[in-house]
Amino acid sequence: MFTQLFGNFLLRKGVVTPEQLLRVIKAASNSHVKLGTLCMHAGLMTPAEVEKVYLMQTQVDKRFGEIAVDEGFLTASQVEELMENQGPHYLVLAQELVEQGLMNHEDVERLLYDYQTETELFDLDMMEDHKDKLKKLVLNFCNLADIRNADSAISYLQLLFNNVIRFIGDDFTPMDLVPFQQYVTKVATSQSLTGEYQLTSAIEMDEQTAVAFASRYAGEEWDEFSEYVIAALQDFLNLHNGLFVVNMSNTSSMELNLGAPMDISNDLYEPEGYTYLLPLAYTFGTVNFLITIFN
Amino acid sequence: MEFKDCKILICDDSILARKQLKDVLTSAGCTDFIEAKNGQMAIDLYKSEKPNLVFLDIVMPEVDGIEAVKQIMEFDSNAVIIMVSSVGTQKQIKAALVEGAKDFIQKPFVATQITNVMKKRVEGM
Repeated sequence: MFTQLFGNFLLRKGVVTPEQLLRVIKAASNSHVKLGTLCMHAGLMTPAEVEKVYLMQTQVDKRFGEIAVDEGFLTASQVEELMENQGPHYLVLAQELVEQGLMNHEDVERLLYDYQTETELFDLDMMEDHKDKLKKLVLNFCNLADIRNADSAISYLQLLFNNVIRFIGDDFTPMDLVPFQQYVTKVATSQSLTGEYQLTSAIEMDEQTAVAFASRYAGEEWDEFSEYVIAALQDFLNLHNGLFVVNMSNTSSMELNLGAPMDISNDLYEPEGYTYLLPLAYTFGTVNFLITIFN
Repeated sequence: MEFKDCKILICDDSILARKQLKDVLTSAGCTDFIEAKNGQMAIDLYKSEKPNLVFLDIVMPEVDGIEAVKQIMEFDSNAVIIMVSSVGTQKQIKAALVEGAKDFIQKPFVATQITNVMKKRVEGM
């Protein structure tokens, strides 16, 4: 499932603040889905039944599954099946909302239901028409209607989502896309596309996040900041933009030029044009994309 | 010629891209490397070091990869240059091949793409 949008869904619904969401995402990265959460997601137990079993666990030295079977909520084979299938990743996020006292199990069950029905999310690996679905998601997520060449901007964002999933991982939540004029950067690199369609994008994050991002991208296990880390950020941006240039050439016969990546770390970034901040809250930190579209 | 005897010039503005390519080539048995971080440096190093094979990026500051191919081929029409770039449009591939590059590998590459090209090019040396 397209789990990374569940956090954004929670933000849009106003059920969590960005600060709460970041805290929950961080906690979820070190957590696993509990059997009770899996039961509710599978529709095998109600929130009240799950609460009852959790309460009983404080009184008897038995596992959740054993009590649920004893109480007749589940069969032994259902427990076994649930244990084998850990369910979609966003369940950990949902579970963490309860653990941190932000909502109860009933609220979570309702939100999960709304999330699945309202946003019509799809499994990237299973859907044949995944590109169309991804485009729909990007359209729902980003309001770019007032931008010229909105189709190209949407294609760019679609590819960006694809590439972060492909090269970094899908354990992120996109925060809302917000316009800005000035931005003080930490570790950052930018690259410009010129020609019939003009766009400048930058990737920015703090040092610790950059080390984790770079390690994932390069398949290394770095634990401190180095020139390889900034090079990995530049390589990711260059690779993404390069693939966009290839796509535009192949699908729209549009030949774009790609400039060399530039280090814009620790700087006041003031690009001209419509500039948007797209933060992706990964479990290891927030990765910011700064995208400037020239009309 | 065997891989271990092949002097290879790797030109990419990214230190990470150079390292990744070098790691793949080292695993394949190559030992002799020279590195350049822009097109001008690649041209200068080619003239002074005469490598057997060149891996060249396209998008680089100062002199880009296409211009570097042109100038290296003007110096040595037998140069064996392999482009490795994320910008694999037909226009860029054609430009590189017209200037004399022998192969084009689209990033992100997998190790076998590199070693297969190496085998093909080194066999005839």
